[in-house]
Amino acid sequence: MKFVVLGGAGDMGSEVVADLAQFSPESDVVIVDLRKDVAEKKARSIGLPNILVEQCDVNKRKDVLRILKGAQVVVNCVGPFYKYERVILPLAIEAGVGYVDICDDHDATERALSYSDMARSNNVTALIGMGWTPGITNVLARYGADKLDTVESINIYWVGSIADSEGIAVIKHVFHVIQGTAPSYEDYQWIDVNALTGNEDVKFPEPIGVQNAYYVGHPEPVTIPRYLKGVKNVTLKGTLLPKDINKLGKFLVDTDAVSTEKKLHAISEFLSGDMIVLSNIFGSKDKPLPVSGLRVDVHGTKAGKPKTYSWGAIDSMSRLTGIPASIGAQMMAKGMIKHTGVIPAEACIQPEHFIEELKKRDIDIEEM
Amino acid sequence: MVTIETLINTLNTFVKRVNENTTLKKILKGWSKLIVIKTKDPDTIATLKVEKGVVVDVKFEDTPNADITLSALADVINDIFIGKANPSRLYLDGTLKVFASQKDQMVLDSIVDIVWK
Repeated sequence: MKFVVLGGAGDMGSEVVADLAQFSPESDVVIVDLRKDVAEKKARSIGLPNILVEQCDVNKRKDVLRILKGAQVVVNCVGPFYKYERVILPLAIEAGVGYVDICDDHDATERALSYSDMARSNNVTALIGMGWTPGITNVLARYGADKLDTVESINIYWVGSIADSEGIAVIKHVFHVIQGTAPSYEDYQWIDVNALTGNEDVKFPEPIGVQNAYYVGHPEPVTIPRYLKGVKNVTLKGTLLPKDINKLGKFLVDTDAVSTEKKLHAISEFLSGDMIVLSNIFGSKDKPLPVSGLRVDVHGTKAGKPKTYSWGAIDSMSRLTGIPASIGAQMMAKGMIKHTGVIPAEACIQPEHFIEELKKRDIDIEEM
Repeated sequence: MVTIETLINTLNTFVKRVNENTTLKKILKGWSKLIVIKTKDPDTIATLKVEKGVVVDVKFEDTPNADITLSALADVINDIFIGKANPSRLYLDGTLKVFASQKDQMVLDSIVDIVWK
C-alpha cells in the first residue's frame, strides 16, 4: 500500500507521515515537498524505514499526477487551503486516488463540495477537513448528535497558540478567516456574521482554561448542517494565545494591512520569521503555552429533556491536526469509508472508532 | 562564576522538576528532542534526551544531530535553568545562542517558564 503526503515536510504534514509510518508499517509513506533537504531531514528524524521522499511543486500538474500513480490515498497538507485546495483536489479525483485533507478555510470547503459529482463519477472518496478543527470537532459534533434524540445547537470553539505553530500557511489562514464575514448557521439558515465579533468566554481543558473567543470563518458551519439534519444552530468561534496577539490581528485587519493577497503574504512572511519576538512582546505578562485546544458543545434533547454534551481536547496543533488526517487515511485505505464524493468527517467517520484511535496516540477527549 | 558542580546540580534539579510537572506531561506528549547545552567559562557540554515531554537521559557529553543547541557563558546557562533569566530575551539580545526551529525555541522557553512558575 502507498500513502502520499503532499506537504509532508511541513509542521502538520510531518505529523501525518510519522503517524502513517508508525501505524501502517507495511505501507510506503511518501513525503512530497518542494524542499527536498527538509523532507529528507524529517524522514531521518522520524527514523522509520518505510518513508520515501519525492521533491515536487504541487503547481506542476504532470508531476503531481505522476507521484499519485499507484497510491491508495493522498493526504493533502499544502496550505493555505483557500489557495491550494482547488489545485490539488481535482488532481486527486482525476488520478482516481482516495483523498484526505486538512482544509480549514470555509470558502475552500464550499468549493471542494462542488467537486462531489466529479469525485463520485470517478469513484473517488475525498474526505475534507480531517484535522483538528475541522476534523476532531466534526466527529465530536456527530458523536453528540448520535447520543441525542433531537439536536438544537452545536457550538464549536478552538484556541491556537503562536508558540505551537510554524510556517507561513497557518498565519495566512488566520488572517484569511478573521477578516470580512464568516459563515454561521443560525435558526436553520446560513448567515454571514462579521469575523472578530460575538466575543464569548469559553472554558477549554486545563491548563488553557478560559479564553475569549470570537467568530472566525471556518468549515464546520458550512458542512455540519448538511449532514446532521434538523440542527438549528452551528457556530464556530476561535482565539489565539497569547491573549494580546488577538489585538495585533484585529489591528492589522482594521488598518487593511492584510486585505490583499500581496499584503497578506508580505505581513505573514514578516511575522513567520519573528514569532519569538511576537511571543515576547504580546506574551510578556502572559507567556503563551505551546499547546492548542478545542471544545464542542452539542445541545438537544434526550427522552424529552434538555441535554448537553461537552467535550474538549488539548495537545500540540500538529498532533491534533496530523493524527486525525492519518487516521482518516488509514480508515479509507482499509475500506472503512464506504461513501464516494467529497465529504466531511461528520458524514463518514464512526466516532467511537475514531476516539479510540486518538486514545491510542495519547490524545484524550475530555468531558467538560 | 558558577562551577561545573553547580551546573550539574542545576541541570539535575531542572530535569527532576520537568519530569515531576503534570502540566508539562499533559502539553508535551508529542515533544521528543535531543537538546545539547554548551557552556563557556567553565567549558561543559550536556545532552538532554526528551521523549514525549519527559527527560529520559542526561549525559555530560556532546551528541551529533541535536534538535536544539544552546550555548552561552556558564553563568547565563545556570541563571536560565534556575529560573532567574528569561531564555528568549537572552536569545534576542545575543547573550544566548540557540540553534533550533522557532517552534522548539518557544517550547523550550515555555518549559523553563512553567517549571519555575
